Formats: sequence, structure tokens, C-alpha cells
Amino acid sequence: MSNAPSDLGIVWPAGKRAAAIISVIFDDGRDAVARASDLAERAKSHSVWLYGARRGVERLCRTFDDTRIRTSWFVPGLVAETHGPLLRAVAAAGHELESHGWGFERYDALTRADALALLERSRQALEEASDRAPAGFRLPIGGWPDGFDHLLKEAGFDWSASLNGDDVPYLHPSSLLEIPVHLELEDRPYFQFNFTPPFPKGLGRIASYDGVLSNWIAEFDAYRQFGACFVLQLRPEMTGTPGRIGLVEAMIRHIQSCSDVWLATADEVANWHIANNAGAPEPDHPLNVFAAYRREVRDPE
Amino acid sequence: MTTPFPRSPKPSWPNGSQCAVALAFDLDGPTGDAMLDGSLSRNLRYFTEGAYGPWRALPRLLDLLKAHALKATFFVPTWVVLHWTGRCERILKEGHELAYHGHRHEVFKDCTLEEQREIMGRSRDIFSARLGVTPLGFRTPSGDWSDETAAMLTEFGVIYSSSMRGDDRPYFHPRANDKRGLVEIPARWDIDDYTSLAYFEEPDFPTGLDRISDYRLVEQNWRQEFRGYYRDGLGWTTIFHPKVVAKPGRLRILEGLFQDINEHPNVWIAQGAEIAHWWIAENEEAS
Repeated sequence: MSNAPSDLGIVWPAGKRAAAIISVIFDDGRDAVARASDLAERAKSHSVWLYGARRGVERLCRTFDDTRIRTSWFVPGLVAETHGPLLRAVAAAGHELESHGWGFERYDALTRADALALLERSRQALEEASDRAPAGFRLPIGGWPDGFDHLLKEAGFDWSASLNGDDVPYLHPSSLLEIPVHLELEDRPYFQFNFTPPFPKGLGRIASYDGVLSNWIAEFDAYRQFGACFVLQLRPEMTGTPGRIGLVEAMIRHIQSCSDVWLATADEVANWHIANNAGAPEPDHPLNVFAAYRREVRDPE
Repeated sequence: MTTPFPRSPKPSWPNGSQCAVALAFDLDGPTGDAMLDGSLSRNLRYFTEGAYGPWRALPRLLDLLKAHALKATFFVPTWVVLHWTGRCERILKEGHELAYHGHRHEVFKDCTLEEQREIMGRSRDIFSARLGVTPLGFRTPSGDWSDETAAMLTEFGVIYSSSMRGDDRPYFHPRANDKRGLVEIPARWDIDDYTSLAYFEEPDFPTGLDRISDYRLVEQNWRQEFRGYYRDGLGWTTIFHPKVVAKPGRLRILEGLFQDINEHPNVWIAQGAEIAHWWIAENEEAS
């Protein structure tokens, strides 16, 4: 049994008008090293990110346990190898490990065969760490190569959480499902900070915690109103800290206070969608307009 | 002691209105620098962030404008008109104004006069063929225009621009080709959503990746901007972008602003072309 379609044409499970996913991006600093190659030789700066494995992961997990929620973790295969026992504990607590590539490679700079090999290697490493084959993928860095959805399907993935363009899931031509994500629902743009190398580049002030919570709640309330799919994206080294964990907990409690929102893992949402909402996107959906744009670039009038 | 700067008389507005408000939105979609340099064709993620505007943000914004009985002006690059014609038809059908904003959001200062004419000619043809309108207004996309732009625009029947920053009242551009100069309806960065809310990566905006502001404080600033223009009887317009300000949680900022405007008595809420017509009828043009 399910609801009537929302204004967005989406059907959610019975009694639910919208969905919310809590995701964690655990890169163990590889995201930062990919942007500042000398970071790995700067112990002080590098430790800003390594804090995640040392302290942030367990703190986030305690909060997830306290609030009794299951979450979706995007992890590079290499990090799963480095932190096998830690991730095994995360998975044993009921969280789902999904792929964040292998080691922060740019898929738009790889051949199809090399890309496929790394995707498969990432799946294997994550499966070993969690006894479950990942179904989802998040693009680590760089552009989305032409036809990449087909490659992800070939590597065994059912869905991606990499692009924007909408606030409900949509299907790629290969039938790979896309769960769109938005930068303002990440903690990193608000909190990431290091002096040298500089993150962010302009060393903007760290945001007000109360302001960030207020923004996220404003977004969540609107997603709920519109029947959309809210995807919070947290990083252990950024919100798994003593001062910010309260913000994470307050956000989860707010979501849980809304019984008409389906709080689920990304994989659960993807499976629901594929079973209940499958259908090619409309002609003027961003994916289709991009295809038209590519044709224009290839064959200018 | 008396001030050497007595208050200048406030502009006159129709029916003795206290001030003029021209709500304006730039529906850029995915057009702009990355489309102009071609890098966008290899950057689907960034494309989808721009396409979110016409695809998902615009319909909600139109709903909100309707709920508050407000009519606005939309400056739309005609590449967006070509690819989201149905969305743009709805803008017109609901009584809003469409105006020029380049074809792919070109930097007019970097274009020769002939290139600028080509862009305008192409835009005029697309507006006419797809939507049956010939816009009267123009807002210069991305950065500056060149010294010849204002005069060139008059060749296309444009009567006003909303491109400059240096005043808080409309004014006339100098006469061009023996014709009346454009009416300028200046807008300011203070009421541009990019300065507080826009955040993109690869390519990065802002270039130093400064933080997204607290939405509540943004709403407070914008309401103070409106109230200042209202108090002094000036002409106010906005530089809002659906892909930035009409994301789900940010519609509340606009809701608060729209309520504030509607709760003030005697505000002339007008579209750019209405303000331009009024200004032409009421004021001496520049010499």
C-alpha cells in the first residue's frame, strides 16, 4: 500500500509524504590530498582530516545508535582497506557501505577499462569490509564521463548519488537511479577549515553552528512540504566533533519528530524508487537537456 | 549647523505611491561562463546545478509569486527559452514580463559590437518565434557591457536596462543615434542572492569558497533593503536567480520578503517596462 503521488509525481511508502537520508562521506583525507598533493607530508594539516577515523566515526556512530537510525556511508575502496576493522564495526551497527570510488581518481581522466577495473575493485574492498556488496556510488571528484551510468551498471551498481538537477530521484538512460544531492546539505562547505594549504581557498570564516542547523531545518521542512528526498551529507572529521555533534543530533531528532517523513538508507530509497516510480524523465528534465546540449556542441548549427 | 546635503526630492510614482518595487529574476539555468568556454559539456554535475533553476526551482517560485499576487520581470538567456519553452510560456501566462539577458549569458564587454548585435538579433528571433513576444528590457549578463552597448540596444526596440549599480532611482542613459537613451533601473549587489547564498564547486563560486549565509540573516538584510527604499521613496529592484534563491528551504526567505512588501501600504509593485514607461512620461531625458 502506498500514498497517492505527491506534487512531484512521486509515490512514497504508506503514510509518508517525503523521504530523508542521512549519509556519511568517509574519505580519510583522500579528498583533501586530491586537491592539495603536499598535504600528506604536512602532519599537522593532514591530521585535520585524519581526525575522522580517530574520533569522528565512532562519535557519529554513537549518535546514530542513540537515535536508532541506519545511515549510508560513501567510502573509497582504499579507505576500506586501510580501516577494515573500523568499517566492519560501522557495518555491524547496521549502516550500509557504498562506494566512493577507489582512491579519489578522476573518472573523466581514465579509460573505460581502467575505470571499470577501479569500480570493481572498490566494490570488492567494500564487500570484504561489510559482507554486503555495495549498490550505490558517489562520484569522488572531476566530471561525469559520457555514458558513465552504463559503466556503473556494468560494474554492478544500481544507483548513484552524485548529480544535482532535481530533488527527487530520477533514472539515467541505462536505468541507473540517481539520488540527487545538494551542496547546502553537506557539512563541508560550512565547516571545512585549514590554514596551509588553505581550505577553503579564501579562508572564509567558519559558519555559525546555529545558523547551519537553522538552514538545514529550513531545507528539510521544505522538502517535507514538497514531498522531496532530503539527503544530508556528513563527514566524520567535520561534524563528528564534540562541539558539532549536538547539531547532528538536533537535526536527526527534528527529522524523527516528523512521522510523515520516511527516514531510510539511500539503498532503501533507491529500491523503493526502482520498484514504484520507475519511468524515463520528461523531455525537459536536466538529463535530457544535457543530452541535447551535447548534441549541439558536437554538431553546431 | 545645517547639512550641506539637503534630501533630494523623491521621484514621483503613480497615484502618489511611496516607492516602486520591480521584483526581478535572472533565469540563467546552465548558461554562463562554463557554457561559453565549452567546459560545461564535460561537467554534467555542474550542468544539473544550473538546470535545476528552470526545471525545478522556477515552478515553485511562480507558485509563490501567485500566492502573494506579485508580478515580476524575468531576464532569460534565450538558450533557456529554446530548451525550456514550456516553462517560459508559464512565466508569460501568469502575467510576468520577459526580458533580454543574452543568448548564453555572454559577457558583452568581451564581444565586438557586431557580436553583440548578433546575440541580440538571435534572442529577438527566439523570443518572437517561441513565445510571440518582443522584450523591452535588458539586463547585462556576466560582468560589464561595452561603451556601445546602450546605444546598440535601442536598435532592437529596448527601452530600458537594469544593469547598473550606481544609483537607487531610475535615470536616463545619454541620447543615442538621435534617439532617447535607455531608462536605467539600477540594481545593487546588496540584493543579489549570489552575494550571500550561491555556492558552487568546480568551477568554484565564490572563488574563495566562502560560506553560505544563515538564511534568517539574509532575510533580515533583504527586508532592511526594501524598507530603506520604501522609507526614502526610491526605485527598488532585485537580482535573484531561481537556481539559488528558489531552492526548497530558501523560498521561505522570499516568502518573508514578499509578506513584508505586501504589508507596507502604497507600494507600486511594477514590472521593469511599466517603470520605464512611467519614467519616460514623467521625466526630462538626459541632455
